[in-house]
This record gives sequence, structure tokens and C-alpha cells, in this order.
Amino acid sequence: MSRFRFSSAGNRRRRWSVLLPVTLLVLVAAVTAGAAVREANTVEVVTFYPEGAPDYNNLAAINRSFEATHPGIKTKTTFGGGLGAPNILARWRAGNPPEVNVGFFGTGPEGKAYATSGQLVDLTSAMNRALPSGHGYGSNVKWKDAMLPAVKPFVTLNNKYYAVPSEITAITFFYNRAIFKKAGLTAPRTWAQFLAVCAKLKARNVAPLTVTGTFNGYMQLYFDYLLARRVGTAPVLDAIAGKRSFGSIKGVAAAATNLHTLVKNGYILRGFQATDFTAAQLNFFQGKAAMILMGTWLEGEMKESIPPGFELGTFPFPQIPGGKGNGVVFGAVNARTVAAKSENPQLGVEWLRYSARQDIQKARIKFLQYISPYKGVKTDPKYALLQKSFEGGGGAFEQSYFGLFTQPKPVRDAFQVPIGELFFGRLNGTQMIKKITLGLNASR
Amino acid sequence: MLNRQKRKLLLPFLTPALLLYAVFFLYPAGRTFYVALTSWNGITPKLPFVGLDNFRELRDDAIFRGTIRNTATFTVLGAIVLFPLALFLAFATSEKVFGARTFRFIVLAPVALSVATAALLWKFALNPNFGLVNGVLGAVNLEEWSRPWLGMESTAMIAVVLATVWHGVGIWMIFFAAAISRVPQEMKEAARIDGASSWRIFRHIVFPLIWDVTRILLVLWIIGALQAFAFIFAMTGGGPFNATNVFGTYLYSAAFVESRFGYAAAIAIVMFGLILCFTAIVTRLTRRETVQY
Repeated sequence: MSRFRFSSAGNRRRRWSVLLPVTLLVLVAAVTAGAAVREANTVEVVTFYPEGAPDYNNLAAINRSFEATHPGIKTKTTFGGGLGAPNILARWRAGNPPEVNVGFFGTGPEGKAYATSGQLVDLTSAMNRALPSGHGYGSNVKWKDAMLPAVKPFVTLNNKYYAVPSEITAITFFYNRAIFKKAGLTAPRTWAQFLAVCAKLKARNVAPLTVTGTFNGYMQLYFDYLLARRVGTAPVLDAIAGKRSFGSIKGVAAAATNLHTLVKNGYILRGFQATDFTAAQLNFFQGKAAMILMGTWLEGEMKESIPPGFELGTFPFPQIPGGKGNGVVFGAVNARTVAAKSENPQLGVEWLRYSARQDIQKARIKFLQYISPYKGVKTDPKYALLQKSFEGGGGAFEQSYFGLFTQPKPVRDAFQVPIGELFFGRLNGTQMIKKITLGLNASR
Repeated sequence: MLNRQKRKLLLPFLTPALLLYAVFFLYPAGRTFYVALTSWNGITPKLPFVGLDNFRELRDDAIFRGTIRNTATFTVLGAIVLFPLALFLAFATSEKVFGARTFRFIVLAPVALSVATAALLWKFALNPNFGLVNGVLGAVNLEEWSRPWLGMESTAMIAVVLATVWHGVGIWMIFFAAAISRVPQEMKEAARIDGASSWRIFRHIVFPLIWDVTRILLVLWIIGALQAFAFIFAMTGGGPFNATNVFGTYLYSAAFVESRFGYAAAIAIVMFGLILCFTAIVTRLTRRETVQY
């Protein structure tokens, strides 16, 4: 008789009392272990945009092409931007990160922490290796040398590469050519011309500008450029770093007055206070407003919502004669990283290397109207000037938002909230400067 | 003998439940308490111990104090709108009138929508430029009443409360309808024969008899409202200028936007304590003699 055979009712109970907890334990173990089991030949690529978005579709296409050229390797596309980001963060913390990730590296303390704590694959040796000639950059060209010089500071820490740039974004003015043509207007070059354009548009019952009031960062973009144009970027960065008083910088008051003029004269589309960024962009493409100050991701992001025949124009933020930073372009480099603790980090590196191919970059840039971080990948003519400035080493290329999104919240709020309050009509220029100055002082 | 046998069985049968309770509640709760004593950023494997610093910072945090006020406003305003409305709908649809069941279905229908869908629906309806609400106001020549509802501190919280109530009132109506259906029909009929109006029947018969259910529902609402997150997050993100920032949205922002998991855990603990206190106070204040029927 087997020792596991039970004859009496008491024995049956005893058997269940043992089997039940064991079964449950096995189940719990199986479920928790299951999460960690991943296929050895899969590379998971995180996208910033959700399924259906043009950027997502482009990455899915790259993944298909990667699979076709790498027999036996599978790819997986996972949404991890915006509301999907916490899910990816949770996976990093659980020790189960995807291979190729959006972000997780930056110039701020948090971005550096991932690199310094060994959670990112050090890509330096891969960057120092020559790309195959089939990649399109010529023979014996190292991966790092195929990139535009301006991107290097955004993907390195202590001369080590921890990220690979996917595209350069720059903040610029977009305008509706048809509205401008109808009103007999041309793209303004100076602040005075810009105000004149706004006044003419308003007189024709067209809202000159649309902006989101639900995200302080986008309202800040206006003030950033006005500050840069008037006083340059260095003193502002010093003030944010706590090295000097913001209010003591000569020219900030004038920049604040310039900004207040836009609000006071009613140049911003009514209802912007409750308009989120997608709706603000939609307002622009629906012709409800003539201009929008936005990143070069605008066209790719809104690809599906741009009406056929929409004539999109761009112009740099207007210059201020006599100003100290008329050449400044705010922007950023979007970068991808490989998680060291992912199942197949080497496959992740291989995927990034593959996606650097010039033909892939060209197709991506043509499809999404981005600015490529790689050499020889021409962007749309409307961004030609911007691209040229990055090719030269990026001396005038400054990090968007003055890098405030890498700063602690009190510093960020001290700078951004008063700007939002000015847009909402709660503060004038002088009050805004005072509040920013006090806030920055208190936050340090 | 029987008791001895029962006692023998107690442990093996309780073990799975206790195990699950320990793994899925006690451990995470204990861990949260510990994380609240650290400055963990969610990235590094180390959890730097900072003692009660997070709680001290919370005490001096003006935004956190604002979230207490906002959460209280959301809870009270929501209860003021939700309970009379749900009670009225439940009482009205419990009467045998034509179309009551259809009406009840219509009121209940929004419950089937996910919170995200319902919140987005309201966000679009309240959009200042292409939203239904301002569109209707414009169509009836009341354009001067139109405004960015979710972008003004004076209206954002009210809009969020109304959207939340719209979404959930159906389920609360069902709870109340179930309680009302237990009230003996004879009592209502006797009152009606004596000439009592529907209001008097409700006020003096139905409401006292369903009080126990009402106070339990009130406690449930308070617990739910103090944990409010999804509707507010999707509709306003806590803005404008923190006017709708509640515990849930602030905690989320601290953890997943600021990467301050230690601070977020401290918020969670304070939130836990406040929910316990409020629940106890409301339970105590609403206690009455139970009516048997």
C-alpha cells in the first residue's frame, strides 16, 4: 500500500490539510516566478507613445525589420511613456526591466543615479567600435562619430556613454501658413514684428496663440526664450542653481513685461487654462489659433490629426535687438538606454546599434518629421537652420526648460508656478519676478 | 473530543489565509512604514534611513496642507450631492410608476464605464473650445456663462465632484433601493391610507428604517473619497494650481513624478491614519438605536 493512500475520513482531512497549503504555496511561487521568466531570445523595446501613434508604428516597423535581419530573435514593443511610465518604473524596481528603454538617463541627479548605481549598460565600448559599412556612414566610422557633436553631452557621464540618442527636439514657433497668407502676414523675425502680427491676427478675430494651461512647462517656454533673448542663459542658470538672485539680473523685468503683454492684450486662445497639451495642439491644427510654441515632435505626434493640405510653417522665437542670446535654441535629445538587469542586455545594445542605420534613421525622420541625431540624415527643410546649429557642436543649444525638470520640485515650482500665475492673470510681470526670486531663494 | 479535533484542523485551514494576509497585506504595510522612514528614491537598492524627517517635512508642506483641505472639500461636497440624489432616485424608482425600471437602468448605465473613460468623457464635455457644455451655453445665447471649467480654481473641484457623482450615483441608488425594498410595504400603505404624502412617508418611515444602511454607506463614501485618485488625476491632474490636488494625486506625484518614495510612503501613512480617524468619528456620530422591523 502506498504511504499516500488514506483510508479513513480523518486521514482524508489530514491529507487535505497538508495538500491545500502546499498547493497554494506552489501556486504563489509559480505566479511570482512566472513574471521573471522571459524568453532568452527576445528584445523588448519601450516606446514613449501608445499603440496606434505614428512613433509607435515606426518602432514596431523597426522591430519587424530587426527580426527579419536577425533570425531567431524576437522583439516586443511596449508602451512606457506618459501614463505607461509607472509600469516600466515598477518593472525596473522589481528587477525585471525591458531591454531598451526610453529615458532613465539625464543630466539631472535622478538621471545620473541610474548610471552611477550600475543599472544601465555602459555603452562606451560599443560606441568606440566601428559601425558596419552597411549602416551607411562610410567605412571604419565609430558609432559615436556617426552622431552629431551636439548630442554628446546628453548621452554621456564622465566621458562614458550610457544612452543612445533617438532624435533631437527643439522648441520653435509653428504657424498656420494659410491664416498668415489670408491676413497678408509673414513670419516675424523680431519681438516687435511678432507683437504686430499678433495684433493684426486679433483684429481679424483669430486667436494668435494657443498654449496649454495644464502644464506649467509649456507656459514656461515663452519666458525661457524671452529671458534667453534678453539676458542670455548663463545668469538664469546661475540663479536657478542658487548662485545669484534672479531678480538682480538686469533684463529679467523687461522679459517679464514682454510676457505680460501677450496675456494683457488677450493674444492667447480663450479657455487655455483648461486646455491640455493635446487639445492645445489640436486647436492649432483646427485653425482655432494661428501659432503655437512647441517642440519639433509636434508634427510626428499629431500626424493623424493634421487636416489634409494643412500648411505648416516654422520660425525661430523672435529676436530682441540688442539682446544677449538671440541665437539660443532650446531643446533636448531624446535618448534610449539599455537596462543592465534586463534579460538580454546585449540584444538591447544590438537593437540600438541596428536602429542607428542611416536608412532606418532616414525613414524615421521622413515619417515623423523629427531632427535626426545622426550625420547625413537630412531633415525637412523647415528645420534646416536648427539642424545646422546642432552640426556645429551646439554652442547655442540649451536644455529645454533650463533643465528644471531635473531639479527638485521646490526649485521647479519656484520658477514655473509664478509663470503660470502670470498666464492666468493672477500676477503681473513685476509680481512674477518677485515671486520667482523669493521662491528660488527659499528653495535653496 | 470534537473540539480537540476542530482545534487540530484550525491551523492547517487558517494557514493559507494567514499566509496570503501576511504576504499581501502585513508585509507591504510594514514595508510601507519602513520606507516612510527613508529617503528612498525608488532607484537605488539602498534605502537611506532618515527617521521622522519625511513626517516633519509633511507638517511644513503647504501643498500637503492644501491636499487635506481639498480632500475634505471633495468628501463633503460629494456626500452633499451624492446622498440626497441617490436617495431620491432610489425612492422614486422604488415606487410602482411607469418607466421606473428603464429610468433606473439609465441612471445606472454610467457605472459600466471605466473611470478613465468617464473622466475623459467629462473632460471633453467641459473643454473650453470644443466641449459640449460651453457649446450648449453658446447655442442658447449664454456664452458669457461659458468658462474653462476645469481651469479655474473656483469651478474645477465642483466639476470633478459632479463628474464623480454622475459616474457613481447609479450604484449608490441601487444600494439605497435594496435598503428601501426591505421596508415593509404595509407600513407605507398604512401611512398612505392615513393621508401621508410621499415626502412624509420617506421622512418619517423610510429614512429612519434605512438609517443603518445609510450610515454604512456614508462611511464607505468617506473611505472612498479620502482615497480619490483616478477621476481627479484624469480630469485635472490636481490643478489648476493644486486646487484639486488630493491625497491620492499628491502621493502619486511624490512617488512617480518626483521619485520620492519615502515621502510618498509617509503621505500614505498619514492618509491611512486620517481614514481610520474619520471612519471612527463618523461611525460614532451617526450611531443611533437600531430599529427592528
